[in-house]
Order: sequence, then structure tokens, then C-alpha cells
Amino acid sequence: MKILLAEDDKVENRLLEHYLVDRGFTVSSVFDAESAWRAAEKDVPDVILLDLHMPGGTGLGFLKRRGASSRLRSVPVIVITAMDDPLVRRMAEQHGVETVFTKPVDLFLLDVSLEGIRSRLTPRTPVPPGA
Amino acid sequence: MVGHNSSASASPSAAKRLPASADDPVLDRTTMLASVENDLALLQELAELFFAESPALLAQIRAGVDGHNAESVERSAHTLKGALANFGARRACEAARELEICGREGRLEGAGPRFSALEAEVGRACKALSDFLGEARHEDSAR
Repeated sequence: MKILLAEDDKVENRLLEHYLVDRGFTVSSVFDAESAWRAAEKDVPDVILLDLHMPGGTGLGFLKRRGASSRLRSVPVIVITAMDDPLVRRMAEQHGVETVFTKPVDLFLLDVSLEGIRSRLTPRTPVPPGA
Repeated sequence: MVGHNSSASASPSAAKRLPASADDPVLDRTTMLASVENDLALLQELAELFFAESPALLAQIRAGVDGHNAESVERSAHTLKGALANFGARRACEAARELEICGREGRLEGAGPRFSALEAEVGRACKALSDFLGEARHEDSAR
């Protein structure tokens, strides 16, 4: 599963990348919102991990553009934010994000969320009749 | 920071969730090591990233304070805060958070002393991290 990781803090970005690669995900890292948009358009990922607070346009701006894009609208987005603000959370949820994680990201819950997305993306093997 | 259990986080939770006090250690070593699962090579890599990034972030905050650019102060302090939290540098984290709030609220009067405090705390955090990695390498080579 291809994950686009958009996080401007290079230390946080590297940590998350390390963790996700360790779990078998293919990760493409970017460090600002505009690069995230270009990367997503160029090679549509299976999931986007999006920090809301980045240079080059905000994560919320990214979500608005995504909503208007027929290519990217259906790509699940997991938002990561350091702002534990119910308003930010509501705004992100209004843009149809999968989950909002407040930093520090709980990696167990991130795993659960990613596995949920993976199970939706992977077609189930039909059970033969009588099995 | 990264860990592999149910309580693992991408940053040490204590660094962000509790207010820092002067009694706090410069770095929370236990959290830091648990987060990288004692992977010192990864910790070294992260530290090098931080050493390379933090001067530019401090310079951006300084320029924002001097130029009364509240948005720049908020953004750079926010990013620096996140990076510091990854090492459990709670006191520096708190100093960055205070400047982030000043920027968000557009209150940059009196931000100069806060910046000086942040700069000092970041310096302590860098030294503590460097010392820790030096000790770890020394122990490793002595085995």
C-alpha cells in the first residue's frame, strides 16, 4: 500500500517513515503542502498522511483542493495535527478525512486505521460454495 | 516517537501533554530510547536531522520576532516544538510553545526574552543529546 506522508518536521517525518516502512508500506515523504499536492497528482497514493500545519499552503487548503479533484477525492486522508483544537478537528472531518490524530500520534491507533483502509482496498477472496 | 507497542507514539506524549517545569531533565531519555526501541542508529540519524534543522528554525523565529511577522513566528515555533518533542525535550518544547502562542495571538511585544529562553533551552537540549549519543557510542565500543 502506497502512503504519501506530508509532514514538514523532518524528525517527525523520518520517524513516521521508519515506522511505516518497517510495517511494509511504501512511503513517499514530502515536507510542504504544495509538494504534497504535486506528489499526489503525479502518483495517486492509497492513503495520505497529512500534517495540517505546513509551509506552502495549509493542510486544510490541501483538503479543499482534494475535494474538488476527481482523481484524489476518494483517496483516504489521515490528518495529523499538533493543534488539539475541536474546531480544527471538525473542519478536517467536514472535509471527509478518515481520522484525525493529535500529535503525538498513537501508533497503535494509526496501525488500526491503516489496516482498516487496507482491508477496504484489498478485495476479499470469495468463499467457495460449501466451504 | 516511533515505537512498537500499543502506547507508542510518534512523539513522547509527556513532552507535549504536561507543562514543563525547571525540575524536568533537559531530555527524557527513557521516553526517547523507548520510542526508537533502543535503535541508536536511528536516534543518531534523527539527532543529525535536528542539529541541521534547528538553527534555521531558530533563525526564522528570530527574524519573525524582529520583523513583527507573527505568522512566521507561529509556524516556525510550531515546527521546532514538534521536533523537540521527539526527543522529550520538555523545557525547550514549552519555550517553543509559548512563542507559538505569541505568534498565533499576534502578541510579539516581549517575545525577545522568550526567544532568548528558547535559544538557551535548545542549546541545552542539543548538548544533552550529543552527550548522550557520545556516551552510548562509548559504551557500545567498550563492549
